[in-house]
Amino acid sequence: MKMNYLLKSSNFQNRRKVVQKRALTIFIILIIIILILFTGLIRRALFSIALPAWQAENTILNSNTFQYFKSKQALINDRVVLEQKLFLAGNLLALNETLQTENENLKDLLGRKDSKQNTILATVLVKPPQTPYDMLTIDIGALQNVKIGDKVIANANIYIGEVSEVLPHLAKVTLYSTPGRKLSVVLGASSVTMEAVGIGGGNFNIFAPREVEVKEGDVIVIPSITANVFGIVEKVSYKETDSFQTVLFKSPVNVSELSFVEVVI
Amino acid sequence: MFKRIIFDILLFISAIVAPWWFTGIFSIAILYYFKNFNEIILFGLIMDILYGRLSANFHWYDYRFTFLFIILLLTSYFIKKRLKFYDK
Repeated sequence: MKMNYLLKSSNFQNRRKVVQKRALTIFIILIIIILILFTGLIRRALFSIALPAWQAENTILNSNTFQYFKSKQALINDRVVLEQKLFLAGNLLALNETLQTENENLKDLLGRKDSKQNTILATVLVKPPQTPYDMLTIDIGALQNVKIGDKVIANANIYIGEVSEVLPHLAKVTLYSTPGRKLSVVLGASSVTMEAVGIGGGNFNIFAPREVEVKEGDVIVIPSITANVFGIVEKVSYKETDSFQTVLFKSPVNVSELSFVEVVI
Repeated sequence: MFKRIIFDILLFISAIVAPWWFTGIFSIAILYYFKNFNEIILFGLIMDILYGRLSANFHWYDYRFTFLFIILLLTSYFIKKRLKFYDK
């Protein structure tokens, strides 16, 4: 007998069930996303789970347990790296001392005393490369009087960023080198104030007129009454036909190796 | 189902303690292993909240993990359908 209608396909019903199931899953996920984004409760719960894990990770990584498992070659490599760092640190220290003495003398001459900043030491819980964002998570927060906008310094006088989010027991620090972030800096010996733009990973760019004298190794500072180092010029590039030069500079602090920072409150 | 919950927990732990690239590779492996691992979007959001800078102004780069995982999920639907050796 000839059929002139389609059989009810079980395949069609199965497919409908699958579509319904998928729609339900996506709907539930959307609701959870909205809950996470618009209620602080879930965010706080998330951080309270993450905080002990980060603290434990930090304790394990900073302990000497792993030293016993290091090979001889790794130790030699480490020594070479540390020697290089020590050499650089020595240079920076000498520069720092000279600047500090000069600064104090000048302030004395002008009758202005250096006001000591109030800082709190914080442990860095999360840092690049664990996160691709140019951000740090530190273990002090609102309970220690940390506020949004507080400046963060590393290695005693190097400004690295600002507090951007505060929770009771932790805070997030946005580094100045965040891509696109702009900041006024004073360029080298010429003392010209320019706008530096962050390009990520502790690196910055300045587009300066060719007349501004700047060379590799020059120190870049943040305009402030207290002596500080913000960066060291790595490369100056320009074309003969250009009226501007590109100054690439780097923060002397390697963020991925930071264990402690100070928050200026 | 039990296996899926275990992998959810592992991915959550990875999102908290492991470097971001490890979590990325791990999530690609899970996407291949499970048929519809839709909850991966949530893990993207969790990573953005934990590590990112969520501002009042919406910028896509503040939600880079969420977007990355959405793209990965959609790509996995597309690729799995076309893979001969993948058990649909």
